[in-house]
Amino acid sequence: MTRPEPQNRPLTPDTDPVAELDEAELDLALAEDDHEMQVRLRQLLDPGELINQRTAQDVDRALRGQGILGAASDLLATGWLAARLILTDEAHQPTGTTKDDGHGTS
Amino acid sequence: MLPIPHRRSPSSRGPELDRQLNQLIEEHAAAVHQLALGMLHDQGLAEDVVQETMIKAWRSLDGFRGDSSVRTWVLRIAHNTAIDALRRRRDLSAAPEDLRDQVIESDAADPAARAAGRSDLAVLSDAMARLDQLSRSIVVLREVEGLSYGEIADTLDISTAMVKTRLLRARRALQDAVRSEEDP
Repeated sequence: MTRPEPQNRPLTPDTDPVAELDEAELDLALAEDDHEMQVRLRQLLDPGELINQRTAQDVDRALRGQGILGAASDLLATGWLAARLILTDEAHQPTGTTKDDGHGTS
Repeated sequence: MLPIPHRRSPSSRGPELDRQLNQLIEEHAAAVHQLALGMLHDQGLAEDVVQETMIKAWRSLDGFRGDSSVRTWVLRIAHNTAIDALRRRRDLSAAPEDLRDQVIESDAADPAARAAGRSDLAVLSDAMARLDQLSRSIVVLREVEGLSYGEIADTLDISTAMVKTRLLRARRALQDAVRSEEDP
């Protein structure tokens, strides 16, 4: 006994009767839902009872990971800005001068 | 003063943000998973898409303008995220056999299904895999999620005429595949 080959070829407008239908005919053809097909599809794609729990855990883990990375990157940016400020400040100091205003007692 | 990036992070999560995130997950995670699994045929990738979608939606909640329902908006994010996942998988040349393998494994544990060879679900899984990606999304959004044609068009950013045409074509392809297996 041979089984028919699955139809792998994509339908083209030339070979596709659906392309010939106008909107009213389309509505009519779609009016009857295939409940059996819907049930099978829902079984096929059933996410399982624990999907919400799994997602909550995954999301929490991902956010914590991203939070740590974000904090590290903020810290790095702060360090870089601070270093740049110090270096810029020092570069603008005139030679031979200090931050001391010269009114010290010694 | 240093610029502080505006982002929702664990450190900024208070009870209200936690509540919003949990509500998003409770109301939409299952639908997002079904859409992602229907599009990708891969459990692991589908769960990645669910996680990514929930985080994206949660972070964008402030910018949600209410032009569509939250459900449609979340499913649109999920669809785009799944397309990105499909592109990444194509780049890695991985085969989308996961869903089919899973169905066949569950058949193997069921003597009746084993006796019958391939179950209806395996046939349906194969037939779904042969549909183009857009048609798979339309089938899931209509037949599984029960969205209206207008909501599907809004979610996928296509015309309702295209939704109807693709849906009818896909339905017929799936019905033919199941029938040809039942009546060889």
